[in-house]
Amino acid sequence: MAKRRVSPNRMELMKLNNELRTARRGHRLLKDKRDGLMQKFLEILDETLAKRNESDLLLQKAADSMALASSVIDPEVLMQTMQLSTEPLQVHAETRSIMSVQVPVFTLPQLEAMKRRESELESDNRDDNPDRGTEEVSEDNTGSFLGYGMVQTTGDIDIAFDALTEALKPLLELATLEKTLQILAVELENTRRRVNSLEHVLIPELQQTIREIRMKMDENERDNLTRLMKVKDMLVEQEIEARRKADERSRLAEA
Amino acid sequence: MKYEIAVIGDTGSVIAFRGLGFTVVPIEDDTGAEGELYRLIDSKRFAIIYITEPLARRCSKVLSRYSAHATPAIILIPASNDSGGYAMANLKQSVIRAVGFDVLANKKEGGESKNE
Repeated sequence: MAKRRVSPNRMELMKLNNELRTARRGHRLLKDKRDGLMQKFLEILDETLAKRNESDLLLQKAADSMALASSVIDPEVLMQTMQLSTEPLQVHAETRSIMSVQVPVFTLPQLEAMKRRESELESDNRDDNPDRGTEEVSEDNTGSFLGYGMVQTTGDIDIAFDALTEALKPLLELATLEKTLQILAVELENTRRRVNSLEHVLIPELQQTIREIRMKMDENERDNLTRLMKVKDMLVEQEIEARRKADERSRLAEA
Repeated sequence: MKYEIAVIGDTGSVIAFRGLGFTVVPIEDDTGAEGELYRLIDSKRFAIIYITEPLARRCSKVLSRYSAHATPAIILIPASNDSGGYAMANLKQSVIRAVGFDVLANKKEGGESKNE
């Protein structure tokens, strides 16, 4: 493990202790974030799988209907029908936050308006005279996205487009879910790496450095203590020597 | 923010989407598919770009490059003539990237053992 080169003093020790405390707090928070993200990710994964199956089935249905339609209608007429441009479909992209990760939410205002209109019509039909209601539905039910005429086309193409319109909402939801899943996957990977690097690199490295500084400081303290004891011994010896000499001097003076 | 939706792939699979108001980019040959995809992304007009699976397999670099961006969402759809399960493989890759192992395989095994 790579060691840090720091001078072993109390200031450094205090700094490293603070760093270790912050790293441990960050590690705990990131671990919680990772667990939360994982839970959300698995929930969205289940939804995405279900939505993908649903939209794949609907698209397959639409493709089958289109194949049937193209077998009945003249290919040139069919291509012309497709070329007729409708208003471009507007999609709204908003963002929402999942564990402070910004993910997009796609909505279709036209689809929502259409649904609202349909539900209003249904409620009107329930309230009013049923005959009048049916008329209103047939007049107003042009809320689909179709942009072709009825002269050269057959009912098969209407069925195909209906199937495609039916697939529109699941496709949009699939886009939201898959994009969320992709962004969460990247965020999860980054969080996992951060947690691992804190857990296996930074925190052990800090602990090791702190332990080494402590050992070095203890050693310095022992050095100092030994030196002091040695100095004290020397002082005591000098004292003893001085006393012995003084005693000898006094004995000689007495003699 | 208001955006549009684009769909790119072989003509047979994508042309019908024109009727819904999508911007349709039919691609018949391999050459230029990535360029077209980049053109759609760079225009910044599109929030969602649907791409058929066979084409997505050829443009996998672009797909992985934009996987972390909020827009555009590049979403795979099956082609009318071929659905090779590339969308599922892509999803599996995201799962391995996020979780570290293939949860989907475990789920499948779990589901099968439950059924048994």
